Amino acid sequence: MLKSFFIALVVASAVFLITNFIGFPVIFSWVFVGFVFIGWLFLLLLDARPMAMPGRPLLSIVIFFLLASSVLFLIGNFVPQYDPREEIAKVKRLQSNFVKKELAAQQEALQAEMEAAGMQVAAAQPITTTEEATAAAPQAPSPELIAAGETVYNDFECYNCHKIGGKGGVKRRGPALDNVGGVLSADLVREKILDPTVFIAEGFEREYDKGVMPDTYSVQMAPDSVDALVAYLMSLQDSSVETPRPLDPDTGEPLQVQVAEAAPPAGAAEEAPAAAPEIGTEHMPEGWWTDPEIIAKGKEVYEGVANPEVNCSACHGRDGKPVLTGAADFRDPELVAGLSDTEWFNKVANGVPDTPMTAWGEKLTVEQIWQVIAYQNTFHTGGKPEVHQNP
Amino acid sequence: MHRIRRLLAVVPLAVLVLLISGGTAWAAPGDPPVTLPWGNRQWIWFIAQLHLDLAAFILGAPIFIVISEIIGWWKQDTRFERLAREMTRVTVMAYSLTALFGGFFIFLLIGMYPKVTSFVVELYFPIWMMLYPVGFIIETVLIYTYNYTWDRWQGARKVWHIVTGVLLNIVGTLIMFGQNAIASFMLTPIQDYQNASLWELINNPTWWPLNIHRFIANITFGGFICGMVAAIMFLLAKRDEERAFYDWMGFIGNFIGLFSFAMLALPGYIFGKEIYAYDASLGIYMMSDRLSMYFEMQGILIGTSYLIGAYYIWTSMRRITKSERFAPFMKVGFGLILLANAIWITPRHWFATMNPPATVENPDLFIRLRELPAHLGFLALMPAKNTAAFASILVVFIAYVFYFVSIRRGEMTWGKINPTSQFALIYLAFAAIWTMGLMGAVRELARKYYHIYLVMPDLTNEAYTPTLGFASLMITLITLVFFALIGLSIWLGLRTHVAEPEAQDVSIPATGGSHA
Ligand code: HEC
Ligand code: HEC
Repeated sequence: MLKSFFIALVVASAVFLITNFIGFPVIFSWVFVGFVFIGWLFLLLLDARPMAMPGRPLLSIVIFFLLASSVLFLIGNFVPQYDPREEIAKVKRLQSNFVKKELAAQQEALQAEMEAAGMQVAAAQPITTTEEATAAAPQAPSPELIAAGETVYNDFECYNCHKIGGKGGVKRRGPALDNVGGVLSADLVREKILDPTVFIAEGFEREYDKGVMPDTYSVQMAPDSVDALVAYLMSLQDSSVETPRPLDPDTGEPLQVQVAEAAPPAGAAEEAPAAAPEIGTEHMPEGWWTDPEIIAKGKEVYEGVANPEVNCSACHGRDGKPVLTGAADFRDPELVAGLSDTEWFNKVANGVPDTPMTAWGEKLTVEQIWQVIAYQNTFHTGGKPEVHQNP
Repeated sequence: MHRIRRLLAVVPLAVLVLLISGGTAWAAPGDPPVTLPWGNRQWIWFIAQLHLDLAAFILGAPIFIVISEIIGWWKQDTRFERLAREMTRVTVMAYSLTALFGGFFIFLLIGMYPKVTSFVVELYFPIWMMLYPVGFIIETVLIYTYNYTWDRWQGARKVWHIVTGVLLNIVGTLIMFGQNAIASFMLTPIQDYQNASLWELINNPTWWPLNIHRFIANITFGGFICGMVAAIMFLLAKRDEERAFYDWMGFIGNFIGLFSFAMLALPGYIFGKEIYAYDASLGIYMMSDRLSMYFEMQGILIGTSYLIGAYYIWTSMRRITKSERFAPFMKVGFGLILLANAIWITPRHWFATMNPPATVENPDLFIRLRELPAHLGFLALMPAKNTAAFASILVVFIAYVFYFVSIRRGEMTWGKINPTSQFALIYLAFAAIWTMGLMGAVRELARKYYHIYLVMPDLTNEAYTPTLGFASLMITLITLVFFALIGLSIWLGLRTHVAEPEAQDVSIPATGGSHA
């Protein structure tokens, strides 16, 4: 055994040196050395004298199970891991992305419905405002927005196929994006993310035809995630790295691109208070009763998304059907008709004494209170926004 | 002990009643779902995987039970008949446990994930509410009929018994295909699911790959479990005839297990390819990003399984006289398996994500120390892996050829074998279950932050991908509990029969001496 051990040692050393010489990083060489010793142990096992029948078979079976379990468990913990805290933080970010995505989708549907019904869309401010904002007031995106965009880039794993600064997917799956801000316009970048068929990155015709770039981001990303991502990509203008030009998928000709001099602003959607600058506590601000964006924000408040400490739906029910016995039922038109704007505001802000309905004024801004009221006002109409008739 | 057995027999019925009453619960998905102390995800993971493991067993075992019943009948070989008989006893016990955990699983789904559950139930209404319950009743009737008519339907009526067994397999497989439709839909839903017909929903891009993969894997698994049952009975046996029988049974189980195991590589590869084709980012997430170390682990498990499987053949050969001349070749074979495995588990880089973690100070150095340089990168690519897998399969195949050649020339006695071989059999079953737990986790985690990929995001805080370390803990626990349950089934199904000779269904006329 001693002799075979020395042979194993010699072989292991040789393996270590050779693999190192060929160019394997040390960690790989150690794994190969591990294999040599496993092989040695295995040869010992092969030539070992047959074992006697175990005296206590049941016990030895149980011990064997525990042994095998421990070995697998240890291997599972021994190989490299990542930090679960980072994963949890990522999930939290994605949660808010998904909630916003859902809200945006609802808002779009609402707007479509209103337009179909021939209603004036008052102060329509869809969350996807970048095009308009670009046209209105070009300004450089904030560093925060660019940083947020980098996070979106990582959270949605664009790095799996693209490289930036040499980092990313090892296989050449997609083009390097180091100079994407230099060869594409913000609109093209946005379009490419939302629909990869809009153009071909030159030199990647095969990948384009195979549909390698996922066409799922329009389903996955909330508008403000897209905004941030575009702002980040447009900030990449390292012309020393080649980022392919866009080609027209029909003609194969290069697309005409007006490369923006000042990088376009992206964060317009961040804070866009829709209307009336002056907001009192007596009356709903002008136009808010039917403003889809206000209603969407009200929904966020109502469902505890805006502020986790305030969740009206926990008692009044997500769809207006009270979950808590005794909570007011806002599907009842008479109840709504009986409340004036001011009363409504006061009850939300100051609560109803001696009932579970506490004063939410401490946790919500005046705007948020009006928003949630506007949303609450849609329960009795089956979801249709309507101007409240008891001012 | 009879009482426990009878009690277990009632379980499927009770579960069915609960299912139907519980079925109404999904109609009103509550807003705040139940939260359990250890974390909802851990519970659903634990129970679902346990149910799946048991289900794989009760589907896989009958496939070769019937085959060996047929062989036994055809060749009038009582050993095959007995193997089939005994595995059936264990399977019937495990069947009740499967139903028990299945019921538990559905309750957890309804209580903790009402939204996803009702969504899926509505989408697949005919499967969930018709095929599944009806199939379940038929399967229950068939399996008990198969078990209890064994001794009565002998001789001329044997054909009917075999037909029952075949039907049992057909129904079981159909049930599995039905559930596979839902499981595969959650990973690769068709885009336009709202307007799709039921058939289009069922026939989503990974349905057939999953069906084929699971079908073969169940046979593998049934074979390895059969080997393990035999090994345990062998080690516990008191008499030589017993040992001879169980030694033989272990050999057969292992043969079927290894053979179908070798066939698994291809459907597994196709399954992976389909996932890449569906959405490359899913495939990359699995093979190169967060789940890459899970596949390291898979490589280790499969590698050791080939190695230990070959070791079992080695011990089987050593008791054959005049087989020594093959020994050096066999040793070379072992070396080859090790080499193949070393290549198989060589990753692109030894860290668990696609890019170095953000906290690393010097990413370039980090990469240089852990990543294959460009000229060696081919080792991490599919052609290298496929060659390695093929080499391992080839070695096992040749080892069997050696075995069958030696047995023609030499002599051997069943029951006289190095007991380490029996532990090898136990390990193979153990590794198979662990691998199933691992790949089950991968299949779920590959969906990333979605209950149903791109259709329904998972907004719980537990939607993140756990580290392999944590997953290993879960899988190990699940595996141990599974084996405790199988141990219980063996004890109820076999040991008590041996211990209670008065039980009238013990004597198998055809078995002859071994039970005398
Ligand atoms: C599965 C691989 C894959 C992923 C993941 C991926 N892409 Fe792509 N991407 C490609 C390929 C391949 C091309 C080139 C072929 C084409 O034009 O479709 C491309 C092209 C592009 C282009 C055009 C580049 C140019 O110079 O014309 C942009 C911009 C882009 N991707 C952005 C993204 C962003 C942002 C993400 C993450 C949200 C992303 N990609 C994720 C594969 C991918
Ligand atoms: C803890 C449970 C709970 C929460 C959370 C809650 N409410 Fe109430 N709410 C009640 C109850 C109970 C009543 C009925 C009080 C009463 O008896 O008049 C009520 C009454 C009201 C009324 C008065 C209705 C009337 O007829 O006078 C308004 C307006 C109202 N809630 C709005 C809200 C808003 C907006 C929120 C979220 C910011 C909210 N509530 C959160 C329990 C709750």
